[in-house]
Amino acid sequence: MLAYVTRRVLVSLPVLFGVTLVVFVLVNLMPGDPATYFVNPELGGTAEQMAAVRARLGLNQPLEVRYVKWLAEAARGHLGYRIKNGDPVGSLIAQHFSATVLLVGVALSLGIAVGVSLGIVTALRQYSVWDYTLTALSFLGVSMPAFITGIFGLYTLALRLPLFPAGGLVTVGAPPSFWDTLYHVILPACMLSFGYLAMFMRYTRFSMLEVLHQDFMATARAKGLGERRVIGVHALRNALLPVVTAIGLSLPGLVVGAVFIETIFSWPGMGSLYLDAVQARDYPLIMGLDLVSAGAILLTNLLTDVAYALVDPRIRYR
Amino acid sequence: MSDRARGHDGISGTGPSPLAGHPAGAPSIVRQAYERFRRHRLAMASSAALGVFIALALAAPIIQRYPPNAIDLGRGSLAPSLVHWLGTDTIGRDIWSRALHGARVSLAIGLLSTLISMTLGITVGALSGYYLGWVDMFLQRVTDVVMTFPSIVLMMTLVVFVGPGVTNTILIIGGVSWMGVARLARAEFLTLREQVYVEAARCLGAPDRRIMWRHLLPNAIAPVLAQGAFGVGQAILTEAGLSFLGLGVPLPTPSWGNMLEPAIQLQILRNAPWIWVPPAVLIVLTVLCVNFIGDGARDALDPRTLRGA
Repeated sequence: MLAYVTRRVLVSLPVLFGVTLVVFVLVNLMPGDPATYFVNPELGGTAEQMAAVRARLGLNQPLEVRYVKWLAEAARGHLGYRIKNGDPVGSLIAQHFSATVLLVGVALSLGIAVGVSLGIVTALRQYSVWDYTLTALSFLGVSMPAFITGIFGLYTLALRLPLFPAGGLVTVGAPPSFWDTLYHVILPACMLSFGYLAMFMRYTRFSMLEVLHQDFMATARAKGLGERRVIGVHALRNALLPVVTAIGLSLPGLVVGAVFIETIFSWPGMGSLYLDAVQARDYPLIMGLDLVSAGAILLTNLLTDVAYALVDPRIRYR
Repeated sequence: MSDRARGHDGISGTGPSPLAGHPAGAPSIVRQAYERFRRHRLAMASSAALGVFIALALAAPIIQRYPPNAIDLGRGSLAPSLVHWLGTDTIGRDIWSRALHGARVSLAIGLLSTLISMTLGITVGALSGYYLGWVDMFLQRVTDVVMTFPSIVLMMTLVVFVGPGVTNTILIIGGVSWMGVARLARAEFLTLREQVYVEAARCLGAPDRRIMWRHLLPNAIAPVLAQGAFGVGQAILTEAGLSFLGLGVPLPTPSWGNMLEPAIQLQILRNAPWIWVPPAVLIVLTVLCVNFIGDGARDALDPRTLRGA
């Protein structure tokens, strides 16, 4: 197991290196010289002043030196300062990160719990009315992006029927409490999970159907095991393996959906921060967010693979 | 293709032997694929519906009732009526006309960006799967890196770079959605390059380019094309999402995504649903149709996956 994890980590390192390189190169190719934030040549800034600022900011050093320096700082969590108001980017992202993790976490849990259960039910009752209805609905689910489910959810369940708050993380003025947060997160999380719920259901159903027709199922029954044990242990354990991969692969998409849901529900997460950064062309903030989101995805991919190896010993020896 | 069709018993009539070439009278591979597609009822219905959408989009200048960009501040936010079939937006533009013209923009972006991503994906996958070695190693790591960024993050960063616009939107969507196709094409090339007929071609002295174009690509293309159908749906959604955030198609050019943009204001969302419901419904219907067609195409073109999912 240790050997597998080590190997998997080693494979991730070049990708992490590539990610940092892409972020650095992209942002450094951006039009505009950062030195002009401090000295404006059009307002009488001299070439000497420009040179002084460039020297102070380290911009006169070769690109590869700047890259290594930036990498060393980023590794310690120093991601620079926001152009707009000088806020440190690192702590700003940290604040917004937890809100996004909460949103995506609740959505993912909902999607897995409901999607996998429905997938099992439809597989066990193949060709039943339930199977047809849910399978047809799942097509609708995968065709509805988060920004559309979000808009319809907000309109029907928060504005027309005021069951849920129309946005935000907490009730303004109220003391922070678990129930208040839950009350605020439930609608955006449901809307975010909609498409993934459908996807997990389809994966589970497909995988379950495949397992149910395999020979070892007959063996398990022939051994005299009860149906509950045959389905619940022998079938499920094998059927859920590919679903674990699907869940891992769905994460980047969930983050994309979160950007829209956060915008629609004014949720103070990374997505709304990113939109802010893009609209203001705040390069240090864009750079930081690119790096953190890609890093988070890389890490969860790693964890998914390790989890997969834990539940399926065959993977470790490949 | 033919050896893959072996063992698939859903073909009507006498299935041609995979080794017998193409005997006269037996249905061709394309014909067989079409027959399989026709049996997928939802895919057929979706093709018809999508055909109607495309016809309406093409006929937009004829069936529009007002110029799509004509502003009339005195007639803003009107509910649907006989004068304005779908009502007007906040600055008095006719929603029906904008929806028609938006269809042109959204569908064109969906198709063209998929064309780009397919070309990129097939090229990367083909090179990777055929040459293996360091070429494969390098291209796979590049694919890994691009896949690690959530697509929207990459696209938003690129928009900051090149600015919004129809052409830029097409290039950006195409440029960041090729990875799935590349993986699929690589897997196809990887198995095909070991086939005996490829070895035979190589023995006859065929250059790599000819082997890839004439011998591998035609056999690898079917499952990749089926994937491409889903790609179109995804690209339409991506355009809508980007434009919804104000980073895709810039106003006044209508697209389904930027017609949805006003819904971000609670006032409009609550009081003027006719402004945002039509583009939302059109997006979902179109993507639903495209996905059903993709499902039918996959069943028709890639019989291996014909197992009920």
